[in-house]
Amino acid sequence: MKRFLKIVVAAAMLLSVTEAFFGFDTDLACRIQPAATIWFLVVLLLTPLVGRLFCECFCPLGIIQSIVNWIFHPKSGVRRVCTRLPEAYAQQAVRWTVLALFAVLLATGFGAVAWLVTPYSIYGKALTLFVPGVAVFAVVLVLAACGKGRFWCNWICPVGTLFTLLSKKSLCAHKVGPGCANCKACFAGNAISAAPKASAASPADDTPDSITRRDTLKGVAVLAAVEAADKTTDGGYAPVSLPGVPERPAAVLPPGAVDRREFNVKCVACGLCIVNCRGNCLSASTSLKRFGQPEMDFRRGYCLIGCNYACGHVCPTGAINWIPRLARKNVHMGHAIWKKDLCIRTTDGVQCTACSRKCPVGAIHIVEGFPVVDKGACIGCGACEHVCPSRPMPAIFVKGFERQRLVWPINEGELIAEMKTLVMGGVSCVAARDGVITDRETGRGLMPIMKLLDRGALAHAVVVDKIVGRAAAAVCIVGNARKVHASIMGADAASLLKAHGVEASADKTVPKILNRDMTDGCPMEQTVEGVDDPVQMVKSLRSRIGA
Amino acid sequence: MQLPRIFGCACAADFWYNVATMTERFSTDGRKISLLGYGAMRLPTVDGGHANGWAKDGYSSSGIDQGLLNTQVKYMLDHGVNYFDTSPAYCRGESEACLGRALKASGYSRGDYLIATKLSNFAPQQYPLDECRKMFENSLKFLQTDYVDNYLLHSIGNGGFKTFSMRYLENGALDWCVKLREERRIRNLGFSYHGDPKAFEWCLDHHGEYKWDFCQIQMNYVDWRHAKEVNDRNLDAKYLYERLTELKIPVVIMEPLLGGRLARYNYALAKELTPLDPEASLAKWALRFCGTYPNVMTVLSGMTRTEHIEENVDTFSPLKPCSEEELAALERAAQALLKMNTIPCTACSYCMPCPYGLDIPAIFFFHNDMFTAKTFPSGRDVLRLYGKAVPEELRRADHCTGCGRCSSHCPQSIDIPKELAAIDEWIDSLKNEEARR
Repeated sequence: MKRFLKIVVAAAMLLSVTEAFFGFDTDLACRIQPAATIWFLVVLLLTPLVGRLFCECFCPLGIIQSIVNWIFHPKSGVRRVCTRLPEAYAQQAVRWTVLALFAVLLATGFGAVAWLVTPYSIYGKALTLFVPGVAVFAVVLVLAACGKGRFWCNWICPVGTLFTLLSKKSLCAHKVGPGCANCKACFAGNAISAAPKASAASPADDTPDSITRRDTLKGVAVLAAVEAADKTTDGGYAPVSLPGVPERPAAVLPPGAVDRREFNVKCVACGLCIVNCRGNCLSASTSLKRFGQPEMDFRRGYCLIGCNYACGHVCPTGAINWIPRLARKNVHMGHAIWKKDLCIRTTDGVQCTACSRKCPVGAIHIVEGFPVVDKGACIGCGACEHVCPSRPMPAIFVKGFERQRLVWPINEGELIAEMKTLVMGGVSCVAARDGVITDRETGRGLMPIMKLLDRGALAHAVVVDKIVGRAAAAVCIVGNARKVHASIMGADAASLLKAHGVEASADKTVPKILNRDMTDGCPMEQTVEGVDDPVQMVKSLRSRIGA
Repeated sequence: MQLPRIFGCACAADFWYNVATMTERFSTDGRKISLLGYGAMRLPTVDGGHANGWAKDGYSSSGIDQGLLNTQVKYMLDHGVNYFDTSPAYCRGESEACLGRALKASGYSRGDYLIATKLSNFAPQQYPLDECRKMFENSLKFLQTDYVDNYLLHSIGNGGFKTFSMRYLENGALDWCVKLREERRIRNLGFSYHGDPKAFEWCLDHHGEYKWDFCQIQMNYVDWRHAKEVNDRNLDAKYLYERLTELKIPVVIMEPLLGGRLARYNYALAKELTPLDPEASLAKWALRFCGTYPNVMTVLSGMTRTEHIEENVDTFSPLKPCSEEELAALERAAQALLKMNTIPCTACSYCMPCPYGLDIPAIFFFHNDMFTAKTFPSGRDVLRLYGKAVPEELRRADHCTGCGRCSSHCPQSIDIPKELAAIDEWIDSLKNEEARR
């Protein structure tokens, strides 16, 4: 039973983290993976009780090693090294050295390199085909195939070592009893001293013949602009080439990686954000200090202003914060810098408005024929850099900030406008208090606002919801909301709110809220029809939706 | 030199299409001309696209498929198509040579077909008369012939009356053309018209002086009454046709299908036309419309693919003129098309190459495809199809610099940078929509 449970959990974990990299439902996957979230702490605390559960059931690398081991040595099962064997001393020496080295690297600011030996990082890099990650992953597999159990976990992985330390006194630990005569029978059938069999597959063979995006971009030809004015025939294509990467004073980090130093330490360079980037603009850094960590590369895309922090959503370590309280356009990652000498206005002598036209926040103005960047408005999304026609280097590029600028709304009108952008973006219900968006919820029907009520998020809050009928109005009244704004509000809901001293406003007021098919009244509205006491209304709503 | 037809015809397509004799019209000098003419502007390429560089799923940059072209030209000659229209500018300058080779290879003698080519002196460096002479001599060389049946002033009015005057009047090119006709090195002189109405009116006003033998205009059931609606600068084809008929100048029709816009599946068009003839393709409708008018000498179609040729040959063999009822349906279809958010691009690729690498016709056709379906595709589908229509990211609309060099070349007078900016804004909004969740 225990074994079966372990297999089920392990399968679920492995599948969820793997599918996260292929972008199906990253939300769920990232919430249940104990990479560095609260989950990790829970697992850490449980370890003294239940042993190294993490390596067996949660860690994708551990699970894969178990599988490989089982394939190559189906009979042997997962072996444990008897602590009295000479091999164990070597193992201890190696793993503690690695852990020490890991700590030193982390402390000296080479965290990105240090993270390269941690499981999520290796797995992520392997799945995103980041070459060093693939290589390490191949080594892990080969070692596992050699039949020494989860060799990587037991000998090298610093996380594994940490868990070993914690699980020393575990209730489930395999202990060597006082009766042990050091007979080595527990090792029967396995040659301990023999070196690992030379595997047919060398790591180099295992490395797929894949190259990173950066490599594919190398060696592209320089664009030679064809003189269209002198063209004599129709059709044809001018050659195009990707621009080079400008030498930025500072790399641009994903939105939500607010503090650069903090980000550098927290990010394990798993690559999840890179594969999930909606704007196709994140790529792995090759600089030694930020090895494998995401940074903006605007050659293939740019950070979309409508994106709801896909990178922050999937980040398992919290290095990229998901800032639900702030619309994307209020996170300034950097600002654009224009170079006159590179601009085609200078080099080709033509008018060009590409950057100004593309800017999603209208921060680039063409003044007297020159692009002028309004640095206060620029959010550093890189749209201008992406479309800039100058070759080999773009004439306008983004410099990243040391600390990203978060622009909080300053008055209630602005706050409501911000909340409305969130609602337009697919969130059902947003609550704000004291000028800051405090909570939001996505879902259908009455569930989101019910959840906010249960969390106490409605108290003294400004609430923005998609549709507010009498039912939702009653929930807001019970939750003691201060102000309610809706995209669509029922006329009777507005009067109900006002009767209970709650401010109400709406983009559109309708006489009646209909159901989803527009065939009849909303079932929730029907539930509360004829009832006037909000508390009573919420009670009947709860029994109706079973919440 | 018609080949003997042993089993009706040796072509497999004829088992499907009941091909009889091609409808014929006559030129001013009494030559028989097939009502369907071949426009050598979109020659097939080896990678399956057409040589203007644009194909449905990506673009073709490689060479023209001479072997296929030879077969196609042979097929057309076998089925009575005898009017071949080309220009030194077409297919990046390769059209004349390829067509010349194909006609030579067909085995027909020079008298069996007519060649039309043009004085395409678009660039300022080609304005001087010596350059025009050189262009004409080159045309003869490439077409492997010593005379041209129909010679055209190419796209008068494009770029305004001043350009027309510089291209043909101030440099004496028009007088030289008249002399060529007297020398019988060209048999007929005409002009093709796009753009500034002043140029068209000037030419007709001087008909007594120059004796135009024919005139090439853009005509189809949309432009018949609505060309001015599409672009204020245009003249309705009905007006053009009637003016020319008044002067007894035979009309050659170009863009009968608007570069395929009237041939591709379009729900609004199909809805109006299908009930009248459920089996007919949209292309057939559009071609029949043009052939209905008696003063039309030939209808040019730039057929890239063999199946287009087979189908169109079938449409014209013989042509069934449209009834009043059918013309009314076509008018309704035209009105439906105008209501759609489409860009009047005909994929002629005169705007290409864009100096910044954009694939302008592919972007416009993608846009039109999206807006002509019965149900509008979802945002995700639009983005996917955009990636398919313009595979290279660097050739998409967002890379337009707004330099405007393309606009002056557009025969349809589309404000290209403005349209591209609008498309990009639309695509961007979809991208942002998709990025939310």
